[in-house]
Amino acid sequence: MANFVEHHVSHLMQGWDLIQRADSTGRLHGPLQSLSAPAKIVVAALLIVAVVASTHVWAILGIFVLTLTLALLSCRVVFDLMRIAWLGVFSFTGVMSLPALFLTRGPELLRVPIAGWTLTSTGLHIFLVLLLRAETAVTITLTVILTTPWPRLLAGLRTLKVPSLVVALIGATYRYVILLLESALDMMQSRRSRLVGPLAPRERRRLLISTGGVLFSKSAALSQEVHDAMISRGYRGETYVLGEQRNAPRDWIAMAAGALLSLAVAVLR
Amino acid sequence: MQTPLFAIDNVNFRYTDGKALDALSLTIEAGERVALLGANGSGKSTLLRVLDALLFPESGDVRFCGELLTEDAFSEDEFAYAFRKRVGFVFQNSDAQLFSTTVFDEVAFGPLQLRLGAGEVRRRVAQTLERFNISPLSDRAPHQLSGGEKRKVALASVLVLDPDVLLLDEPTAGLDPRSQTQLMDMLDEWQHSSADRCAKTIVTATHDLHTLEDMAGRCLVMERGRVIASGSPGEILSDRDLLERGNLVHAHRHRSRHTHPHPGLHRPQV
Repeated sequence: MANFVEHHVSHLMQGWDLIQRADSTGRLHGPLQSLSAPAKIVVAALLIVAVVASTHVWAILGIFVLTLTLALLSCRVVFDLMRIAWLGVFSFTGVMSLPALFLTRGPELLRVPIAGWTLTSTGLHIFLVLLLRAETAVTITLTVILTTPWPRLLAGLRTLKVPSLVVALIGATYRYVILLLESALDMMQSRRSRLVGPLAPRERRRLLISTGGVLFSKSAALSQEVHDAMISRGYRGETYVLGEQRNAPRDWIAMAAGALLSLAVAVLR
Repeated sequence: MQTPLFAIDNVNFRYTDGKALDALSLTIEAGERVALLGANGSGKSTLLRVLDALLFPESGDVRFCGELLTEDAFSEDEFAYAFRKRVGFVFQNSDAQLFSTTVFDEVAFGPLQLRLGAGEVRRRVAQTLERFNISPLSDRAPHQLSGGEKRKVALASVLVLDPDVLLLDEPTAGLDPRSQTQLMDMLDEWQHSSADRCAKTIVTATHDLHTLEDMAGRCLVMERGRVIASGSPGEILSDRDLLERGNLVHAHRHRSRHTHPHPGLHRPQV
């Protein structure tokens, strides 16, 4: 169990490292980078709602392919980054929606020999819709994140009147989750360097729980210090940011196109 | 008689695991450079937090320019903004201090919270980045910076407010010698940049005795939440017993079995 967690924290760090490198992809010159952050957030939100509302596999797949094409035209490195997310979503949503394949009634497609389970076409349809919805929503979100410099994305949220506390929390999470992951990995590596031979499962579980506890204390101390640093510079509960982003004609065109596409996807049955 | 900048009278402060300040009384005058010396756990950092009104004492009074610093006083925006504009605090842990997404946003955070206009904020930030030679870092994220760069940005993010008082917690800890010198130069430049040099006050918590004479005109040696001695850097550095008592120097044993005490870094005897 402890090795499993260590393995995944390490993978998470690699993924996070890629995202950090992708910070620069938002500053490249590409079709999506030329749009304002508020316009991209609005279009992404509309498309995600449409995709979640739709049950039409081909319509959802169309949005997925369109998003991916635009993302690749804007920056080639996105494929590597998205692959990590797709695998994660597939393993989570795939497992969650797997029972739908066999538990949904409908025309029989095939029968699993020994277990006697029946795979129905309706079940397969539901499985694909659930999986595609999750993958497409994640792809849309990642495309916006990877084609927008992070500060502009946060400022864009403020322009759209998202409460400043929420925006400040998102910003702080982005900044500090990496510090906590680094701490977690350091603690695990430090523990491994002092071990001789494998530990019994029970001992491993005990170490895992104590590591979690120490990490929790560390994060509490760090958050207190960050809060003090903010108060010391005049923070009184409301975060102020510089300037709002204004939409250019191309942003309005993108939003109109996004709204029409979303409507079309949502009404397709 | 002039009102002291800070007047601390019989202050007590306790964490859950013990007393951090014990009936502490002291004054700091405007324009002074004061160093707080002492071993880990002697109360230096707690005192800085009390001076910055991040912590409020259990008992005793803390006054800034004659005004009592209490939680009630800080519940009023006008008082809080006026104090935060005049007193800046550079934390020991730069990772805690640098919470914004870019260096520009970090430096702009303070002026924006103090509700300066957008034009004024941009002007101040550009000027400060230029002054600290960190303009090329403007769009970088804090996690992409080296330790020395982080410390520079942390200092810039406080000095952009042009405070009258600067509180520094272990400013040279973890810095290489070159970065230490650059930091000293920056502090010197800041203090000399003011039209009224006497208006700028620096209070530094440190155990770096090498930089003491550059850092301070007066030293306060702390032990268990009390000031056990005060004097000029020369007086403090020449009192070997006091330094050993305050855990600021240690006896160093050579391979040749010769043992001698010395402050800070080891330099071989010629």
